[in-house]
Amino acid sequence: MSTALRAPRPPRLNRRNFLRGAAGVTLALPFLEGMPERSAWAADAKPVFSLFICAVGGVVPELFFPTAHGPITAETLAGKATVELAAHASNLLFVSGVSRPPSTGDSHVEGLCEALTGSPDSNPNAQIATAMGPSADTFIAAKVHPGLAPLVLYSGQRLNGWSTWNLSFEESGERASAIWNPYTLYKELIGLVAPDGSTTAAAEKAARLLLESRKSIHDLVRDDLAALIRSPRLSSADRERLQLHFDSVRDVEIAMGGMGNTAVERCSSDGLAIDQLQAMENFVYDRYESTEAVGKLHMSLVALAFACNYRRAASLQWGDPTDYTVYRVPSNAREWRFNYIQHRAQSDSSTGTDPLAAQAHAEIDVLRMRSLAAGLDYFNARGLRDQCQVLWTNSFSDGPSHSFVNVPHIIWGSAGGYLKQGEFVDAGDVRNNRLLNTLISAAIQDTGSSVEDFGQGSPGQLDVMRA
Amino acid sequence: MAGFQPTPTDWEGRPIYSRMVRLTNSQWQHAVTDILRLSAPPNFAEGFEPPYPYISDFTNNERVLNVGERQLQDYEAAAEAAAALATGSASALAALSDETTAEGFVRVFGKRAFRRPLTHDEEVKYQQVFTQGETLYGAGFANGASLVIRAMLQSPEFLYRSELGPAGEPLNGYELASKLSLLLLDTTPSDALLDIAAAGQLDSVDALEATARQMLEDPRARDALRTFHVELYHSDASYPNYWSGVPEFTDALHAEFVEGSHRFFDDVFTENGGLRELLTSDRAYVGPNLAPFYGITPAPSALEARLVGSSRIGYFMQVPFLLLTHASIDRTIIPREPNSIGRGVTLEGRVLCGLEYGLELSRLPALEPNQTNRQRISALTNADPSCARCHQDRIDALGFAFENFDGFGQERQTDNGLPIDTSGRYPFTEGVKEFADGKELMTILASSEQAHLCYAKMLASYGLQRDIIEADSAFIETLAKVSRSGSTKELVISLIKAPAFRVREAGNP
Repeated sequence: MSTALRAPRPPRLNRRNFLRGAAGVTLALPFLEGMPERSAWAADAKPVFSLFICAVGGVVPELFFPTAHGPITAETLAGKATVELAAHASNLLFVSGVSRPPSTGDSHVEGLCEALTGSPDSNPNAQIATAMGPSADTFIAAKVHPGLAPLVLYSGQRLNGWSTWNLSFEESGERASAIWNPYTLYKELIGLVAPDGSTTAAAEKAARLLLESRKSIHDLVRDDLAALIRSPRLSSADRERLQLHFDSVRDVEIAMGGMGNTAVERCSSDGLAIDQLQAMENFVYDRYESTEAVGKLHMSLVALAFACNYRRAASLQWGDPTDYTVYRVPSNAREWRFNYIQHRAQSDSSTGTDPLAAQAHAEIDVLRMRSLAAGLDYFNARGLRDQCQVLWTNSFSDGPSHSFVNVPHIIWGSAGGYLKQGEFVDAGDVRNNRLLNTLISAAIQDTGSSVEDFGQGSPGQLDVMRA
Repeated sequence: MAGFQPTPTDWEGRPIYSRMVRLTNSQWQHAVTDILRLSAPPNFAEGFEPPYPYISDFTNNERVLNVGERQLQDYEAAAEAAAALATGSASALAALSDETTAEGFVRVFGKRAFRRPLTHDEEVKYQQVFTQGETLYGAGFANGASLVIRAMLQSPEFLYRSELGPAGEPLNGYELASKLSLLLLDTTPSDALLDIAAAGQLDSVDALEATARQMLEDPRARDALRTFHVELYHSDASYPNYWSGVPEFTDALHAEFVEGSHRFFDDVFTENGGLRELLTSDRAYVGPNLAPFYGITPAPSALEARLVGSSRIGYFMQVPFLLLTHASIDRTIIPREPNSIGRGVTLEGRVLCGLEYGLELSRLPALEPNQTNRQRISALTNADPSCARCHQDRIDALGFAFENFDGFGQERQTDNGLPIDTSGRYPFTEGVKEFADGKELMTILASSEQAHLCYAKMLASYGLQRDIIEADSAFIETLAKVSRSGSTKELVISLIKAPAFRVREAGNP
């Protein structure tokens, strides 16, 4: 007899396998047809999904962060812009003391470039950054979904200013292509026309019924197996074999649970603002409304993509480097563009001390945090809280200085239990590469690996962030 | 290793005596087709996880038939597809069952699926499943029946053939019906066979034999035994890595030699042949692609049985086998130089059941002037005593018998311009025997106790779906005697009549 070889581990469950029908006989699921084959979603190695948001500009620090490090409470958030996130407080991790490599050129573009690469912009005076390596979203995607790029999203005006998107970079350091219109991603995820002509709703109903019926059959099978395993006439090998069968049923059930109390609820078009998304087909950018609206729609779609295991990583640039958005906040009756407000002067090239602009900035921070909270609601609704990390950071720390010191970092989600929750922690004075090491390691933990030397700076993760 | 003595017959199996043996993928496909009365079903099992190779001699071995996460999903999706097909039209439903009530359908279909009548509790349970199907998908017989089908096809009672009665007692009629049908027809027992079982007509050895003999005349038995021979001799292997870049090795050639091997095995079986005919038949299947390698002109337009010349007898001297064993670590010798070691390993392992030695591949040096392939190989394998102990007297001795066939399986008169030496001697369990060439070796093998013992052991392993160990040796000896004087069919009958087939084994505690 030949020596027994270790049997290769079978492919893990993923949604496409899970809902596939042999020979295409049983199902016509347009919603799922666009789902490529993808990697693990097994009970013992649940994936972590990562969205990295970088908003252009800074914040008004004294009116932004919780009042004290430690647990995030209603009291520590009171009077701060981040009180808008109070409903998510128990799932938030604020990190202070994280800086970026100093600016040597155009900080608007550099700040974006450095946010996810942890390295300086090697072409710091150009409109389009050239990174020194991949951004975190690209790096993670390559680890967990080889050959499948992250979702790179952008909420901005597209060349209606000094520069455009500069957040996500490929391995070569080249800027990645970005999706600016949520309608594009919506079409990609949902598909407007089902292969069999059925509506998405009908297909989803079929899938829902399928899952329900599967669950009931699993229950039967499990009961039968449990009864058989108790038979005293089985050999030990038989018992082991039936136990494997039994465990496999359980694993599939758990994986179904991992996709949601019912998978369909998580991975379906439920909860999407369909009318708004479809209205985006003929989208024309509105300098008053679009940045926040598009940002939220993007987040709704990323939540869906994650729930379906369509992608494991995404990035979203929120606004333009020299942002022209006119926020309609009480203190901006003058309709200054956001970049002027940042500069506290009606100028793209110099800074001032205009107090009304400072007040408007604080009000814009509130508005943005309100948008973030709304976006996080989508993730929460799809049950992603424990399998996700959503990072919000800014391209620099405050308005007038455009400083890269102590840039805001807010993380929602435990990333599979990797990160602390409900706390405001201080990293001391560290470069953001260490924060990125931590987030990347959290994102790829199911691969059994971690990263300690992403970007530039001292190696290692930030233990203060870890659960 | 001092004192190393290869075991004449490898008894190092690891049976676990399963009481619950999962259906093979092929059995699943055939069973579902039959119990759902599908006339032209898709190959549901095509995408199923294939059995893991190298763990056992055959892919129906008890040790490779598990249900893990992947298989679970395979069965689930296929059951859904099959149920949809069986209940998707009025004609399909009519073919499926005459029953019009949930009770009737559950009872009749359940017996087919579980290969025995359902218990009362099972009937109640699956009637509830029927009702749930109508609740979920809407009122209608098809909706209820569909969910019942899906549930039953995923039940362990369908997926495993069981032998759960007291150890040491004969299998009951239903267990025997399932075991017979799955072995000989590769499918679930027919309604008629279940009725025979219910009537106690499989309870006597004579009745069992009579039923088995009938089954062996079914074309599906020919297919089942073809699978045995294909897996025994690895005749469907293709070595794709070695075929690339060799213009003579076309897909058409591969398809033809696979089919040619199948039909040769089929003929031996249906014409009441056995190991002797496998080793000594003077016919082979030849088609337009194989004919040039046999030197047959004009080439036939399609596969047909032909006499293939005075220098060849038996399967191992046919082009498919000689081609199949062309693979070598050294691609520079492909395809002209024969892989004598590969040929010898196959005969040693699969015909004589010698130990399958750990494979240590060494690159053969280039053929030198005034050197034959045999001399080149001997120089390498005899140089190191640790190699020579297996190669010199056993593997190479067998492989060199085919030196008059090149890597394409074409006959040749000289090797590198030198005379060819095909002679050898081999230490059979019954004693050392000498042979002048491959034909003589085949003739010796056809009468060899060891070869028949090996064939009997392999067939028993296939039929019992477990490894064979030394404790089985008396039983295997009995089968070997049948093999020496009879056909593969008779060997199968003897196997089925043996207690090892008919009586439950206790299994490892």
